[in-house]
Amino acid sequence: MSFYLPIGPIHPALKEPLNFIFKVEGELVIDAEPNIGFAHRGIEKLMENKTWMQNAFLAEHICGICSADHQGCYTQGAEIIYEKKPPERGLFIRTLVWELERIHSHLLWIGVAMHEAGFDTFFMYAWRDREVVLDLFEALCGRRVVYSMSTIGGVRRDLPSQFAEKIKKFVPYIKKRMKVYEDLALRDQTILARFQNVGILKKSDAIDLGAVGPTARGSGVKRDVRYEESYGAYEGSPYRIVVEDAGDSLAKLLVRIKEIVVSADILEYLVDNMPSGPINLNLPPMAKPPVNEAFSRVEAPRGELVYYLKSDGNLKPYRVKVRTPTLANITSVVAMVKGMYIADIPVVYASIDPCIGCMDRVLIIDTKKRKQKIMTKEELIHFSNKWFKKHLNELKEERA
Amino acid sequence: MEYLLYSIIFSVSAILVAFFLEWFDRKVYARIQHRVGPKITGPHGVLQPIADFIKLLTKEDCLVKGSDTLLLDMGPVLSVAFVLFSLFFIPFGYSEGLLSIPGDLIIIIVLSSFVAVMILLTGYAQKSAYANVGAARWAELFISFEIPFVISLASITVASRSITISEIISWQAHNLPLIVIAPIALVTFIFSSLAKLEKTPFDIPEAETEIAAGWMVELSGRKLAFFRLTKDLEYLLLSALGAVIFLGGPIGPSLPGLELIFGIIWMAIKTIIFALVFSILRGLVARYRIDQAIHLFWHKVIPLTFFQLIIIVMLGLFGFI
Repeated sequence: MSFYLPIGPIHPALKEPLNFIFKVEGELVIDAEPNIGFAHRGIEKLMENKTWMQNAFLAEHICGICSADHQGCYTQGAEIIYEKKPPERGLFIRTLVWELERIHSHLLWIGVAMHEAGFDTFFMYAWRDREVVLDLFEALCGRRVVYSMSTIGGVRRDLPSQFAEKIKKFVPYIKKRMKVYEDLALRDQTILARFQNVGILKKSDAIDLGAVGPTARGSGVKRDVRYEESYGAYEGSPYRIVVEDAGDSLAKLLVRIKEIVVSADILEYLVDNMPSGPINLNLPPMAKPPVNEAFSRVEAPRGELVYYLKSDGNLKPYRVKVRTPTLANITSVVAMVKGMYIADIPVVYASIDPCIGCMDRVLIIDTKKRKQKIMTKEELIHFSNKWFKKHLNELKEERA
Repeated sequence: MEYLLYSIIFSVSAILVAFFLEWFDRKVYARIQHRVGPKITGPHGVLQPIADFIKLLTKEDCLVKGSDTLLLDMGPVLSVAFVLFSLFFIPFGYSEGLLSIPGDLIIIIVLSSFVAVMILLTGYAQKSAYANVGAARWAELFISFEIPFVISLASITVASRSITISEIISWQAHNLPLIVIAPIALVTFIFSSLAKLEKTPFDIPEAETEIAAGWMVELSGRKLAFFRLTKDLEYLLLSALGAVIFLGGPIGPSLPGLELIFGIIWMAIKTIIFALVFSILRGLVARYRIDQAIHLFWHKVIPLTFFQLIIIVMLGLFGFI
């Protein structure tokens, strides 16, 4: 007997609105269909109505957890648009925030994954260690979650006094804790039972489905923006790529634990080699950029984050396009969940570290027929050509 | 008339003790996780379970259309009644319970199985995929844990040559506590009790992150309150049963003339020890999947119980016990 088990948009396993329809036979999952679009907020359109400088603070509100990466990726793109290069110290501080954020995001994920597997004690321990990172953020940025550090042409605040000492104290602490976590993950029988050989994503599937970040690296794909192009202050840092070949949820857990250690190493390097000098270029907020376009990539905690920016010489961007890592990874869930049990769904789904709030871009709903619609690429091109032909004169008038 | 009065007093105090044990469990679990646990209601939050219970009683009782209302009304009341009735056989001060008849260990086993059946029926009576999956999981778990539970009690009865609780206690008073003679049975008893209580790693039928609350997903108000009370009473029952059959229950050193008070104190200490073991164990592990739990019981726990039974029989044959 097979029946359809809807999970979401509101369900205790999902922290954010997303709908999965699973075809199950008893406890076995046969097929899955993700339906996205419940948290569309229209931020891309809103960005076209704000100035370049204001948008830096809108971009960081796309995601609550990887906010610094969104802001950093946006400002990195905007710097290409403005054709300015930020000072070294600014880049170093920006990278410092990125790496601290990666630690905090991965710790948060470890907690959530353990909660999904029913191990609430580990969840509490991981989030307790995360508090230490949040305290560091409070000292650095004055805020614990949304940091507002990057700006076009550098960062907004210099390091507070004694901050390097705090990082020096923090690095051995977090490394010691990660040793404990790794031991637990590899030795605890119940964790092994729930994570090992669960939700396997084959290497070929990971490449075909375009998985990014720890999801891809857990399947043995060497895909990391920090590795592919040295942006920020990564050049010369002790960065090393962490790859696990198993492809199951345990591999994704181990990748994240080891990446925290790598991030801790990078933090140590950054405070040791922090150059002196100005932290930003003090660009005037109303400066108009040249006509230009930019494609900016950073490695967010969840994977590759892409911003495409286009300027028509005005104070406001002509177009901002955001592609978040969750959108790239969500199709992998379908491949991972097939042949698993219902009980594995939360663990498998959580293993990509989904962030629906930053993923959802647009949803087409026909209000008259009360139907959702999914547009294929051809339909979308056809629709946009038709729209432009119809509105060409209006657009020309607007430009003039 | 006298019996009616006694049983009412006993029931009320058993419910209060069960609430105290729930508070104890929550506090221990919270301390393992570096939290504080219930804190505000009463001294150190000891009244929190009672407050939760009263709050649930006042909540609206709503059901999905198409549920079996008769079964859902019957389930919570009957399961509370079954557990309370089986608590009557547990000796909490004297070496006999409020009720004591030959073969009362069997009655406790039967009554606790009735509760399991009520849970199963409640799961299937609701019109919800989550509840049905939860009930199916509970049924699968039930056929796995009930057998080792009964066989580990069987090795106790073979060792003490009795199926009456008061005689098991008096046997332990004259010989050794049964924890020394049947340590493997203790382990299997704890495993199957954890499953019976739906505590991690066996909280599979109500796995919050997988199937919402499983078999109790559509319950609200009084029905939920009574099922939670059932779980608390079962927690008390299994802790007390463990204390009685493995640690000798109310027996222990005492002063002449004060046997009852010392009996209650010894019984309380031993019950708390078992409750503590259950709480700590559930804080240290992740949740098993249903197939893994069944595998664990049928491949590891049940052979262990039979092994223990054989050892006990051999010891008896060669005259050691």
